[in-house]
Amino acid sequence: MATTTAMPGRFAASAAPASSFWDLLLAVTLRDLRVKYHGTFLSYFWWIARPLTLGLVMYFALGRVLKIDIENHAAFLLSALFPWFWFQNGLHSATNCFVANSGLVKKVQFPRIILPLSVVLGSTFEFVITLPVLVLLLFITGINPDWTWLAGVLPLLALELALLCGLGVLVASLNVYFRDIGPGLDSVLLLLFYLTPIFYPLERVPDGYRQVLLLNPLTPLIEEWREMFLFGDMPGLDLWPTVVFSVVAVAAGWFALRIIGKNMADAL
Amino acid sequence: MLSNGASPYAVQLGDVSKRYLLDPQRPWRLKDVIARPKSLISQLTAKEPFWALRDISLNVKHGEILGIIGHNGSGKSTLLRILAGISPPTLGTVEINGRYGALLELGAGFHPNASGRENAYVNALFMGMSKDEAKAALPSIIEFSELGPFIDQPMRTYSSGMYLRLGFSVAIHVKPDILLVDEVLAVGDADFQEKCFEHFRTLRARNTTIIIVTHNVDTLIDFADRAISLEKGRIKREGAPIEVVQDYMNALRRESPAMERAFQRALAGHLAQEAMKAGVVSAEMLGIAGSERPDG
Repeated sequence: MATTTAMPGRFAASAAPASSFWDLLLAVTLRDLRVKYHGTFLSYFWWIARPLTLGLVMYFALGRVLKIDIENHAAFLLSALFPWFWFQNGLHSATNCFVANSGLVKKVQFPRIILPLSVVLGSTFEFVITLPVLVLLLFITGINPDWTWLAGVLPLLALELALLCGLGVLVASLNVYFRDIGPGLDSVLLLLFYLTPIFYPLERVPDGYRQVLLLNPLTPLIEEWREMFLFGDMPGLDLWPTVVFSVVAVAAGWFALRIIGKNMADAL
Repeated sequence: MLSNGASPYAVQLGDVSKRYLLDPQRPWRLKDVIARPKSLISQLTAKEPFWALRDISLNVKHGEILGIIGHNGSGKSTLLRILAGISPPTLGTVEINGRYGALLELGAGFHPNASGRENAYVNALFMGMSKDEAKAALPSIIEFSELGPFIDQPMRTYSSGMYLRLGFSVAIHVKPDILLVDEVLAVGDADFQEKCFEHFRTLRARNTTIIIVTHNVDTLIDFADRAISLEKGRIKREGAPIEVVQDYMNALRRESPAMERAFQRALAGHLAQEAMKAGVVSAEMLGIAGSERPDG
């Protein structure tokens, strides 16, 4: 029997709870998805409404009014807007998850990482389930679905999911102490939207600026999504900056939660 | 961690202290850190330390029922939070031998827009049940909660009593070896409270260790095997519930005239009841009741 008086304080429980991490994660994710769209008549439509609206606006403003010449402009916009909104929604909603669930965090002991991960998983689900709509829209614009999509979508999904998990856990944890993260992140996301070649092609960005854009880890990711959908290209080695950044993000998120998680109930 | 599985104690606390750093500026703002980069460090060191718990040493045997009593702010809830592993002790050691369930707040994390059934399931998982356990227990949880057809309604439509019943029902189905209860029974109607205590008695028969925080001295005397009273984060008195309660009540009466009056009323009522049992004539009863307010 250990009876030493350790410094600092030590907590040891001999029996772990029986609940499985993954069951809990799945249950919370599904509950939140059900709750979010319960009472809306057009739930599925709302998942695609935002990229579609912005796509329409840009198609009109850039293509028809400013007459910017981009080949298959509608497909060009949609193939980047869908993965972008996944990223934006996921990160935005992860920020507040600990603060919003402070009642639970302060009263129940459970793996804290469940909360940000369930939010990120929820937005991933919304994205995956809208992919058929994207395929249909691309088909309407004249792009025939390609078998390489099936193989190419997996690494891109996995990579963007890893990036979101890492960043989501990081911002959610930091937001416990720095409440500026919430409003600040919205501005960062807005900036990031313009610093990522979503509604303009990367090759038209002047030299010098282009190198700056390439520092943005989302640039290769969005480019690869687009090239896969438009030209059937398999995602390739161009993605390495995103991969490196994702690994760093996951490590940073894990580290931040390790430090902040223990005292989270006292800090909230 | 070094327990050999045969530890006679369910809970062992060794000189546990908990310090909170009082800081009106919490949560920190980026502004402060940017304006004065050293402020993070200086804030950490310059904060007013507040010791919510001081040198708490306590052993609770398997199957024992321990009552904790104390003023508001004496550290009762902090102690339970530490026992539940939600908040780490600043100093000292906590050792828990067995699966614990905590009733710190009934229905913590219930989602108002999800149905009672879904909330019960998710809550059961949060409280440590496995998926299979939770699914198997769900019918019994729903039955105990007496919610009937309302179980499939969104929880925002529930009354606070219904909310409570479902929360309690989930919590007791976790089947913990050690149950931590924080004042949750103060709310809810008499019928529900009785049902809870009935359940606690079956838990006791199952050799479940129960640590209960309460302001209700009757509960403590009836129910607990042993009691401690906390004052300013320290254990003030430990022993048989009746002794601890007496000591606590005496302290309360000394400090608060309102408590003294309430005590006199309760005493009069108690004596009247005793008198009734003993078959004493009603005139005498009135006489005792008349002494309720000696100073008018």
